[in-house]
Amino acid sequence: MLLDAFLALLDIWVLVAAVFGIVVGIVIGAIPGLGPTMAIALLIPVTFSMAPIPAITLLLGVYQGAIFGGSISAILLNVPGTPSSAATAIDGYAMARKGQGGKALRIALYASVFGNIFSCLALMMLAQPLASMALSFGPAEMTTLLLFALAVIILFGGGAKLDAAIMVLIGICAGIIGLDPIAGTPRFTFNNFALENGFQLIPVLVGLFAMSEVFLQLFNRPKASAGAQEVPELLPTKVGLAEMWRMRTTMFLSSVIGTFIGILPGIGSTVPAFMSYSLARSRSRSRDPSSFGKGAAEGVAAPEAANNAVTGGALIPTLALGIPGDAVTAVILGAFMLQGLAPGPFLFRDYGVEVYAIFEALLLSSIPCIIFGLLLFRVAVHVIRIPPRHLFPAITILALLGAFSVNNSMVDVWVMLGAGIVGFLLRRSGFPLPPLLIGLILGKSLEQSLRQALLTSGGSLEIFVASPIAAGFLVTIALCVIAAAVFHLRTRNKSEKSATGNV
Amino acid sequence: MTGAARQKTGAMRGIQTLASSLVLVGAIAGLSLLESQIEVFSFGDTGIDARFFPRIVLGLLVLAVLIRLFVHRRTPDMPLGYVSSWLRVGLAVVAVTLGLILMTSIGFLAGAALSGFVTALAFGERRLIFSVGLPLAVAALVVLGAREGLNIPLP
Repeated sequence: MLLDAFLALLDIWVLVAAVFGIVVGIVIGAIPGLGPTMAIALLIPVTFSMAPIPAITLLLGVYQGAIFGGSISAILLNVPGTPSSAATAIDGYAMARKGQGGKALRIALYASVFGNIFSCLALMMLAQPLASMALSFGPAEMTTLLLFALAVIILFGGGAKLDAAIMVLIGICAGIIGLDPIAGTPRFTFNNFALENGFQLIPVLVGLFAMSEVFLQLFNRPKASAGAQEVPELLPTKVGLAEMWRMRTTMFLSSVIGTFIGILPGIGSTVPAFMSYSLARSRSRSRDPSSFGKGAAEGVAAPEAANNAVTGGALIPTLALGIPGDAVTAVILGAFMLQGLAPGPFLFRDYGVEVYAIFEALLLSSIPCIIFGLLLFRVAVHVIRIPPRHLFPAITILALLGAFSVNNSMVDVWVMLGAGIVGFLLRRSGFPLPPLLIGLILGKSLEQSLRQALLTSGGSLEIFVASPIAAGFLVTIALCVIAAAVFHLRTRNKSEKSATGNV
Repeated sequence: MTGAARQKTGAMRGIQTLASSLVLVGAIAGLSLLESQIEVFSFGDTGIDARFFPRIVLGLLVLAVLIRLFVHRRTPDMPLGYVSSWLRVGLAVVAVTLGLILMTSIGFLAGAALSGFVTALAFGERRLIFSVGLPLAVAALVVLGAREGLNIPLP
């Protein structure tokens, strides 16, 4: 299988796709406000006429490149290009102010590639066994697995849990529109034939992440008089193998954290980036306690290794179970479906060669990522300076094309605009969008498996306790709720105590 | 809390309350439209019909939003923002809407360029080369790429 997959990679278009994806990813990721989610969603139309392997390689290249690109503006401007680069900015920007911006960028690049390779290997080892295990799941097991995924998103996704729950429920409600998955009855279509297919994923994604960003940037438009931020000078520097070798344990532990937190749905790459930064700082206490926050190289390597390791980790449940780990993998899931490769337990059985070829392409993409990363960070410095008033009108036009091109339908463009307005209002109100998106994706499967299970059992809930796997998931959900409640109470008590102490 | 202090920390009723209330109204409307919008052909089944799941989800949504509104009833809310900010967003929404309405008659190129042009104006771009020229160039490139490269039959 691995050899067949490697042979499938021996196509010049795969290399071209990987390089194009990485270059576009680095450039777009470097621009604050334009993350990998928007980049991939806008580039999906480019992949329509491509074969599945180069198409997905291109999009994964964008993902890989954008995560590194996010660290460029974080290090040079203290403005994270992606939320996950915020941890990198702490020590990266401190290094840049000391004239070590080039060194910080090189460390970020090498750590990113390390994290990516580690998580790719984990992906290759874990995804297929997980998919094989899921093949034996019936409707009851699938229902509880999906409930577990949604519970993790709500409880551990960060931010207010009630807000995340509301967003998940809104996403599930949006998924109800269209034909009923079992009886085929139209639901909330208002006799509109176009709505019978429900909301297509890509137009909703483009609206939620690209169009809403345009509206949000317009809302928060900085004053025209605000000058461009000064970029510190990039002095010629080199990072030796010995220096990277010294950070091997930090990079390894950060990659483990990134990969395994990436597997959990909905958490994203910001949490593991900060976790690995904290771990690196606590491990360094015995050696150099004062360097963190003032330009420590390990403070750059740790979050970068972790947030890149999330790439492979998040793809494990996405491809093996059809459960996206975060917003970016939700877009990649949509791209897989558009290419006819439906993620889930059957993916590895039916398209094993294609899937392993994509994994190998992701692994080998590390080589062009290093080459173009080193070549492009000086170019990216200029891209960061493109003013929003030139950038966002172009994004509006690309969003119109992205939504139309899915089905060549104007209805999808209207859906995109509607999703953009809703996304803007929700983001402006501080509600998180990823739970909504994951609710939309998982809602249909949840309904289908729940109703199938209940129809099989004649409406009895015993079916969820009778299966050991389903019961195990229910117990895990209960444990997660208890753990989240205990953590919440402890945090509240701590903050109350510190507030009392301050008075 | 004095008026000035509230201005600094945020109003008691702001955009979060507004958004939550809109979601609540939508969920209640969904529940009340359930019977008319989802036709069920019952043949003595167990009640696990097409209305079963939407009823649970919409009910949970109403409950969750009511809890949120109750929990945050005394928490200072995020302010609505300046009227000028809303006007800029409104201008862009109207421009894209107009572009979409006209797109079927004037074509993708003109419709998209119109949306891009007004968005650039809303962003404060006043130089003709960037407000008109740039969106037109991007739209032309997109049309060329979509038609010739990707075989997408744009309007």
